[in-house]
Amino acid sequence: MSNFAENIINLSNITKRFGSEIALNNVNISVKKGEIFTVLGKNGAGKTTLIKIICTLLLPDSGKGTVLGYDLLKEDKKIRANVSLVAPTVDVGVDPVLTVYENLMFWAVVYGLEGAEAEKRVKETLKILGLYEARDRWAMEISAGMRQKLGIGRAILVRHPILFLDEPTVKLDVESKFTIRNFIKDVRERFGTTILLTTHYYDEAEELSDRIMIIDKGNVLTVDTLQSLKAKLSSAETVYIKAEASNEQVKSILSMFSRFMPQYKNGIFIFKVPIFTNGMEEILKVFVEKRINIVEISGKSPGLEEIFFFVVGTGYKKDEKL
Amino acid sequence: MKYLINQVRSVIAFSKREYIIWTSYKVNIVTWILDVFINSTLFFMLSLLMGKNTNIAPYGSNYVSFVVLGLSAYYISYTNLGDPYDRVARIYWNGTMDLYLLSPLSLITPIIGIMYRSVLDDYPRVLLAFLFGWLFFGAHFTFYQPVTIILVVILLGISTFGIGMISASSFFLLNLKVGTEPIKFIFQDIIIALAAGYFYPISILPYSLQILSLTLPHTYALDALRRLMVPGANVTVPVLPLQKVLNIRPISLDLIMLTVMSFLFIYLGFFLYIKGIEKARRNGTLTRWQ
Repeated sequence: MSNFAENIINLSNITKRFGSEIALNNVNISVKKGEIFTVLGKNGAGKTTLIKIICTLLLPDSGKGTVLGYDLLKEDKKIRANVSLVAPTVDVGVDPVLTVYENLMFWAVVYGLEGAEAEKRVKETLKILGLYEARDRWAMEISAGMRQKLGIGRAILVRHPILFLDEPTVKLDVESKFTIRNFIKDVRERFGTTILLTTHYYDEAEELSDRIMIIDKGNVLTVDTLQSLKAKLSSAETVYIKAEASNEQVKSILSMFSRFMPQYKNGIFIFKVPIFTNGMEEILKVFVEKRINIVEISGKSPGLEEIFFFVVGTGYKKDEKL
Repeated sequence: MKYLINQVRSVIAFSKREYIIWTSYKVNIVTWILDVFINSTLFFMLSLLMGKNTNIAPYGSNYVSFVVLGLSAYYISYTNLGDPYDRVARIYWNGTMDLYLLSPLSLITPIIGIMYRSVLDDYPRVLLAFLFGWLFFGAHFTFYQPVTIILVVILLGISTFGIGMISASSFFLLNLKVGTEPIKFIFQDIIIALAAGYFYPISILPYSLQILSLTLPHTYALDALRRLMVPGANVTVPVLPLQKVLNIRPISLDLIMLTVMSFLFIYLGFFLYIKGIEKARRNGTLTRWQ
């Protein structure tokens, strides 16, 4: 997805404090219609506070904003009636002693769908979820992954334009995570839903996000596409140097660069060189000084995890020159 | 109008769901019937013991009938007054509060909907109390002015639900999320238990407690129901202090007071609950999801 027409969420200078603790500090963000916007941050960074404010379950202390064109502070009921939420706990909204079908039918009525339309929508959703065959099974009998899908199914029953997914794959096994991620992509493709996602899984954010926001201690550190973040922050972190070195030289190198967690395996030196340092330059200089013949140098680009820790660790801001 | 219809349809959906859940525990139904029977029997045994020397005039002379009506008011009050706080707590702790808030439902609809479980559990006890009283313990009833009887029961239900909503509002307003809820405790376990007159006419209470009983809808509801339903009861002799002061027919005064209390408590209950939600939205205690 690259052509996002309009901003569906606009926040301006949103600040929230809990006592003396600042949860969000002058947050400004715009989320475009139809994009998957991911919020990354450590525990307590302010991710959930941000989502709660956008879906009007929490009032900011200051700042303003619009969601779907509605005023965040004055038209909260209209916003709440037009957004869907999947909270982190797998079983929320899923009653174990109701069947899969009964669970969704209940929520269909709560969301204002009527009679035949409700039945049609529930069956359609079950088919999209891949749960149609399990429709008559009790929710307590199906797997955690299926229950999580059911929770997301509840949230998409009414095709609200915005879907909030707060850690949707937490506690799920690898297979269930894979299914849910594909399902999230599918929901966006089918319905053009704008998805605001929080996650602790960097691979999930890499796979799903159109744009990523990194937040720490209530401050937005950066908002950008993964490609742009990588371009700005590109530097090999894990460096592999294949070299012809004597045992003595190997020992010396390993001892000199202990801060880079060096290893030597099968004639290859491996270093963990922090990005945005002159560590690599330093290592190569020593190799030259010690007259060690370098056969090959390779490196591994930083993933989102490395970018995240770099951004959070340095307090990097979007407009700062790198 | 469509909004209202959607709320009613949602309450029906809640009712169906609660019914499915309630009936899914087969053993529970058996234990529930036994529980109702044993409890009712205990109350009747006690009432028979005390009833021999109890003067219940002007509410006729059948003490068992007198107690059946007391028990019925107790069951209705127990559900309507005691349940809203528990239901708000339930949807808060199981995380569905967020989902209901992010839906077209009014703030009150989920509470009423989920209360249906207690309605299933408690309201049939009223019928069983009548049945056991009539079958085994010699209770008899008249159904003088059935429309008034139904009206009194409805007003008792509304007013006690209003007090229940005041109690529920403390969940957010006072941020009382665990432990004993003080409003419910004070009303249900102290004032109502002492002064509602479930098992004795309030005329036997010390005068200060009689005055206290005037603040309870139960007092007026039980006065009206007993005058209308206990054989031989007098509908004109004043019993309550207010009836002695005001020159209005006792049952009319009961209806006026019940109506006033219904409006007052429902208004206060909803007002405080909504205020509690607003407060919780400001301080971040509205949802368990963190």
